[in-house]
Amino acid sequence: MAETSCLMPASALAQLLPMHLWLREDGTLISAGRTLAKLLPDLDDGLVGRLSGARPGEPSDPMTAIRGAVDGRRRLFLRVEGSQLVLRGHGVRVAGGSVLLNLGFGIGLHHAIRQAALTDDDFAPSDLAMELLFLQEANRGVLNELSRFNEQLEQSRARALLQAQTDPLTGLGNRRKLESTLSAALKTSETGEIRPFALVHLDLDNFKQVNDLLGHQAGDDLLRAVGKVLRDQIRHADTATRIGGDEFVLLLPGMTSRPALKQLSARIIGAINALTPPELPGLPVSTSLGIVVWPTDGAEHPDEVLALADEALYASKRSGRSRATIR
Amino acid sequence: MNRLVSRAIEEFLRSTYGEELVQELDGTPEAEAGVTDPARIDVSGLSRAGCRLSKPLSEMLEDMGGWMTRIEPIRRLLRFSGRDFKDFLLRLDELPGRANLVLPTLPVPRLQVRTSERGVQVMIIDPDPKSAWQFLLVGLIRGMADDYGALCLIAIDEVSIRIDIWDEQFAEGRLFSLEGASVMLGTT
Repeated sequence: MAETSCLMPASALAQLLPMHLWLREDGTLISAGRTLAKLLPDLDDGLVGRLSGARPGEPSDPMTAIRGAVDGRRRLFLRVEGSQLVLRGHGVRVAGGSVLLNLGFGIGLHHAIRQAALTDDDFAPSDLAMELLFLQEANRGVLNELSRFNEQLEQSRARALLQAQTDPLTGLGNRRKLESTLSAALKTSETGEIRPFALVHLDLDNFKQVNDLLGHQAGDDLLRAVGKVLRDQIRHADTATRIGGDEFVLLLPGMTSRPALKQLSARIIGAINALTPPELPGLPVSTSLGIVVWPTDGAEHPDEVLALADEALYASKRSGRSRATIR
Repeated sequence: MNRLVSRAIEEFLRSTYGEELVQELDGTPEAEAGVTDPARIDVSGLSRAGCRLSKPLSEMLEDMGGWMTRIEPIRRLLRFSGRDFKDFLLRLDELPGRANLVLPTLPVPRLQVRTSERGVQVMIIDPDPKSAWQFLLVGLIRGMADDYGALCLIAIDEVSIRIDIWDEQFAEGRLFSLEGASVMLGTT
């Protein structure tokens, strides 16, 4: 190993370029950088079986690949045999037809570090390997934190949405909940079918005198109890909402049977009747219902369906309260 | 940005003083106030904890700096910045750049490093009197000295931190290999 490049002795070269490979024209080794030697300790015994050309469509014989890249002034790609690692680099011809290559790890850096247990000292200071590793680990940490925050945001959003659609007094849905559920119910299914439903609009009879004679606390208690009655009477897929004061709306998907609606109305009226506070003088608490079975002519918009239910409700009120009108 | 900072503070308090303190501080009205200055890291969580524990904020910050060096992913990031303790100190001026490479909006003051007779002096440029960085850095440097196994004396004045190194190889430092850890930030 007495050879000297035109510039410096091999030992200086090994120090300056830890990833260099200096080869005679016949492919025998003059010197190798110390990091490369760590990765491939037996290069002295020849390149074949240790390195091979990694460019698709080009010969895998290492010396052929090296000569081709150096003389054609192309980038050189060399696979480290028995691993996924592909070194990349370039080379020049130096003294006596020998070839000096400077190689690097590229994106395979992690494989190289694992394979040869490389440390900070194995990289030239001009190499950005350390910065790449730093950036990768730092990014991973931050991304991990961000996805945590994202999950938290998603949870808060779901909570806020539920809150925004809930009536705090009764725990039923509120007007916003009714609007969104009704709009969705009026749309055809994915297969283009109309999905019938019944909409029940009800308000309490003689509620005002509970408030006036027994106080607002008694009024609130009554509303809460009505909320419970409605929740108990509906099915899982139904929606019960309080849209203001003593007005409630039920949305019952698939419910088109008039006899069933009459029975339901009777049960609700009975249960609400039973909520009359014993100390209430005069008329008992009850409820009047207005029911629309959809589809019905000329009602395509939520407001139109609600207006029809409202009309039916007032028909019930006019004809003596404590009853249901189905249209 | 401030959410990352407050989460770090919360994790520090949780692992050092327990869940109870974190819950207690969470319930205080100040915790809700949330008026923050984006040019400064928000350490109000630490000062509230300090009040509760009768510890000055400077001490809380130092402890937190030390705690950070014991969180493996953070320790690894710090170890990337120097092959030995002296090298780590001399390259501290890279710290703001490294921090901003990953968190571009984190307000980190510029640092200037000078060598002194026995060691290194770290100056904090444009120091903000209310800045938390000086004490946090002291804790960080002390923690990293342990990590590298160096024996040093740390002294502070108004705008700088002086580190006198007595023995770089005083103890066996903790192991550091480039081959990545799979531990994630914040898991202790």
